Amino acid sequence: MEFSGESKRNQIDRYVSGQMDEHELTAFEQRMREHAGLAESVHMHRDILEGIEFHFAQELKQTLIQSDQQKPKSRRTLYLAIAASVLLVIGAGLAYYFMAMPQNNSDLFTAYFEPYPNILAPITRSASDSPYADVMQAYEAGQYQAAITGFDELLSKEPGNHQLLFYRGVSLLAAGQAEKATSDFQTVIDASDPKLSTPAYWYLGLSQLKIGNTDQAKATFQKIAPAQGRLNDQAKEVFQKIK
Amino acid sequence: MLSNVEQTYLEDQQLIESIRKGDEKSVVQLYQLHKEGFVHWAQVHYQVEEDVALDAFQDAVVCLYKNIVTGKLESLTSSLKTYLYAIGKNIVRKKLQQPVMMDNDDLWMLENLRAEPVDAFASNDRQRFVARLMTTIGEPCQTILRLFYFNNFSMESIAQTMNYKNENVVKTQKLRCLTTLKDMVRGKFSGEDF
Repeated sequence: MEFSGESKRNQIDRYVSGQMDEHELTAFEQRMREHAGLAESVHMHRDILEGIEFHFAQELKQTLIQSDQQKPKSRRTLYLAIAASVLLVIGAGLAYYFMAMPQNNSDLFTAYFEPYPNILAPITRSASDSPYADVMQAYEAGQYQAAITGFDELLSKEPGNHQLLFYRGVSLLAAGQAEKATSDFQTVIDASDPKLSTPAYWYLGLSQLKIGNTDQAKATFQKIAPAQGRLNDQAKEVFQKIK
Repeated sequence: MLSNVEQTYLEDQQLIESIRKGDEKSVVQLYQLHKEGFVHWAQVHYQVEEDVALDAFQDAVVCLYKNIVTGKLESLTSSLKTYLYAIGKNIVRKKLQQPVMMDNDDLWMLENLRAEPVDAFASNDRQRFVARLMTTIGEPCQTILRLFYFNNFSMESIAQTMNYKNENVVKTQKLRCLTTLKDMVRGKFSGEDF
């Protein structure tokens, strides 16, 4: 007995997920004993659910690891971050005092833009041999022009590498070249790489916001807002704040 | 005026409630709150390297998350930190492949709870292959399968979150996603003995 109908698929799903009542369970297990094919389908279904859980468990673990990478790494960077925050607060206060303007879309970009963490070639001893190590080091150090030049070179050898395109897009955006960045993000989105799709939409929306294409930016953020995740939540927030 | 214990209990319950609703930021908050303490503690008590302790703690947070969303951890009899340490301790011991000697308090606390390394979530090649397929499956399957099987959302909640007309639409879509995965797995494993 194979998956031959929606009702059967549903039953297997309910059995494996432990959603059957006692009566239904007894009858189903009896059928499993009588039909080896059904038992095999149940086994396969269980493996699929375990595999799905494993995938999302790894993804959650990766989120925790990334949250460490976003934190200042040393006391010096911590001091720099504090100093930058103080300057930002003073700057924001002065801007508000002199202009008495409500938050505009340019402020929104500044508030939400931060470079995507380096997960392409994390700077560790084991990753120092990576061909991307130098360029990603420039990226992490905020040397975006150097990083862009490096990405251009790497992309001339690997034009189909969407990760490189994505990081070049982020570098272009950070270096104030939002127009050029949109094209990189759009190419990444068109490639439908599930790992890069949400981040690419997020940075495409920010690029459009930076350029002043607010309608396009809203449409872009709206595409990823319904799903779960840090960038999806941020997209939801920015979508509501865009004027 | 609340005592410290009462205050911690209330904060823990709020955190559990946010996590149960699928708020990833609360999971990260919990992780960052106890990470340094646990890593130091594990280094002192088990003489493990920092990266081993950190890796075990990340696994412990994932396990705690699963225990919360599956309803295995509903009402707390100790602080969330105590649960997290008990789970983390078990994981460190498993990673070190030491016999898992637990004291009675830990055993009682971990009863029915998931407390294993994330790598052990998959027990065979077919499961690991499905996990790899999941990185290619795309939307809306990614979100539907995550919300249902990992965040334990109801069909009704998923319909609301994803702006579907009703839960039946979600059910049908979910079954389609599973069938797609199953066909891909069959293509890879056909003829092999499971």
